[in-house]
Amino acid sequence: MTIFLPVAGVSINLFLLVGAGAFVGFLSGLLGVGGGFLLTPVLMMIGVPPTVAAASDTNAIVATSSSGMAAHVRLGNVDLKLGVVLLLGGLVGAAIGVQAIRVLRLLGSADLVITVTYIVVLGGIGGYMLAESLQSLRRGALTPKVQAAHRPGRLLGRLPLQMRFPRSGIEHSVIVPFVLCMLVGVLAAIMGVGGGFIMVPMMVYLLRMPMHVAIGTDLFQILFTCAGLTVMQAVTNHTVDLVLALLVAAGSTIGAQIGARIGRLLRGDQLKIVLASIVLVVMLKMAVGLMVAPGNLLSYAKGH
Amino acid sequence: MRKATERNRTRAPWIVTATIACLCASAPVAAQDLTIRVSPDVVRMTMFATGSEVRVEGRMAADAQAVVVITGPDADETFNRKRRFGPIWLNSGKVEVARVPSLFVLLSPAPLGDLLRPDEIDRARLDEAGLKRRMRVQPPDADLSAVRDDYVALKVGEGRYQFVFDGVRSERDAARGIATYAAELQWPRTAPPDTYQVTVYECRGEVLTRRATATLEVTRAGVAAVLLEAAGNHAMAYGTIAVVVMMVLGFGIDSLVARVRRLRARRTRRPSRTVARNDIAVH
Repeated sequence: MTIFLPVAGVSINLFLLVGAGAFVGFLSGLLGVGGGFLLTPVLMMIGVPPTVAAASDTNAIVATSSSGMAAHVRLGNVDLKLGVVLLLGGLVGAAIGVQAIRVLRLLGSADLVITVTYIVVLGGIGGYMLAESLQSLRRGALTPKVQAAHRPGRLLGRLPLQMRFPRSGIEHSVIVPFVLCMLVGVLAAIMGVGGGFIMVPMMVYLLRMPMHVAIGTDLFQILFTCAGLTVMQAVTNHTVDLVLALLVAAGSTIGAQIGARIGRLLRGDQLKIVLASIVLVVMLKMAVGLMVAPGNLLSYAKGH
Repeated sequence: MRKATERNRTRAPWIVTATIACLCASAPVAAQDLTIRVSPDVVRMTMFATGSEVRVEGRMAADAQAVVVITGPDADETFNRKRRFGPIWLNSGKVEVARVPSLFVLLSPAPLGDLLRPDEIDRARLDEAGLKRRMRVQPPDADLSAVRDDYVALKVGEGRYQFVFDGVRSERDAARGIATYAAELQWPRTAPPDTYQVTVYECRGEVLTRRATATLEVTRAGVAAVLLEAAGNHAMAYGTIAVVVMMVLGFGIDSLVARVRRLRARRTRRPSRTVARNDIAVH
C-alpha cells in the first residue's frame, strides 16, 4: 500500500514508513536518543529526498520525544530545572557550531572535519561506555553499589551560581552543565544531528546523573530543540512533509512507549551497553564507509 | 499531329488510372497515420491514488516498429563528488549537472541496435550515450565521463531512468495494411508532479521515419495539493501546525497508553484485594 507524500513528491509504502518510525522510536524510548542520526539515513534509503528526510525527521522527533518525555515524567525521570539549563547551553552551542561549519566550508575542509569528528567522538564515547558498563556489570553482580549524591570537586565547587538539582541528586554550578551542553551543541551542529547520543553519556559521566534521569531530561531538551528546528526548516527551506512526519511519528510514538517500558526492565548498565553498541556500530559503519570505494561517487548535496 | 493527340486522349485515362493503382498498391502502409494516445493523460497524485498504470498506444505503418520515449523537463542538480585521499574516500567538492531530463523512460520492442542504425539512434538521442552527450557538467575540469556514468547509474537506481527493450507490443492487420502498437508502464513512484512529453518514433528499414507526441500531466490533488500550497505559501503557520500536531500525537498516544496500563493494573489488583480481605477475615 503506497502513499503519496505531497512535499517530498514521491510515493512510498505506508508500512515501510511506519515500520522505520517504530524501530527508531523504540531506540528513542529505550535510550533517550532522538534518533536523528538513524532516521534520516533510513528515510533516504527508502526513497525520500535528503532535504525532506532531514526536515521531516526533525518534525517526527517532536512527537517521539513528547511521548517518550511524558512517559519519563510519570516515572519521575525528568529534571526540569537541569533540562532548561541544558537546553539553553545546547542552543548557544548549536549557534556556534553552525558558524564553525560555515567557516570550515569556506576553508574547504568541512567534510573531513565532520567525518573525523564523528569517528573520534563516537569511538571515544562508545568505547568508554562499553568498557565501563561491562566492568560494572561484572562487579555489580557481586557487590551492589550505592550511589551517593554527587558533589563537585574543589575547583568546580568554587565556581559561582552553585545549584542543587534534587531530581538528579547532583549539585553543580549552573556554569558546568551550561558549558558542557554548549560543547555538545557545537559537536551536534558540526555532526548535523540532535546530539542525544552525545548528551546522555555526557550527563551520566560528566554530570554524574543517574542513567534513567539523564534519558528523561535529554528527551525534554530534544523536544524543544526539534520544535524550534521544525519551524525554522518550514520557513527557510519548505521541506517539512507533514504526512511523512505523521506516519513516521505514528510508528515512533508507539515504539517509544515500548522502548520506555522495556527500559524500566533493564538495569542502567544494560542500557549503557545497548547505547554503546549502537554508537560503536554507527562509528564502525562510518569508518568502513571511508575506506571502501563507494558504488557511486555522486550523492545528493543536501546541505548541512 | 491530330492522330497523336487523339491517341494521347485515349491513353490519358489509362495513365491516370494506372498511376492511382500504383500509388494505392504501394502506399496504403505509408499513408497510414502515426497516432499516439496516452491513457490516462492526467495522473492525479492524491494521497492514496498512486501507482497508476500508464498506457501508450496508437497506429502506425504495417511494416514499422514503434519506440516510445517519455521525458520530463530538464533539471539542474547539485551533487557531492567523492575522491580518494590516501586510504579514505571523502566528498571533495560539488558537481552541477544540467541539461538532463528529470525522467527518461525508453520502451522499445527490441534492443535499439536491432531496429535502428547507430547514427539514427544518435540523432534522436534515444540511448544512454545520447543522454550523456547532452549533459552539461560544472566545473568542466571534473572527470566528465565518470560523472556522466555515475549520474545515469544513480537515476536508473532511483527508477527515474528506464530502458525497457521488450516494452512495446504490436499487432499487424495485413488485410487492411495497418499495425497497432501498445506500451504499458507502471508510473515511477519517484517521478515528481510535472508535465511529461510522450513521443512515439516510427522505425522502418533501420531509420526513424516519423514521430508523434502527446503530453502526460502529473498533478497533485486533494489534501496533497492543499498541504503543498500551505507549505509553500504559509510556511510559518504550516511549521507551527506541524509542531502542534506532533505534540498532540505524542502526548495523545502517551495518555492512551497510560490509560490502558491503569485499566490493566486495576484488573490485576482485584484478585489480590480479595485475598487480603480473606486474610483479614481469617485473622
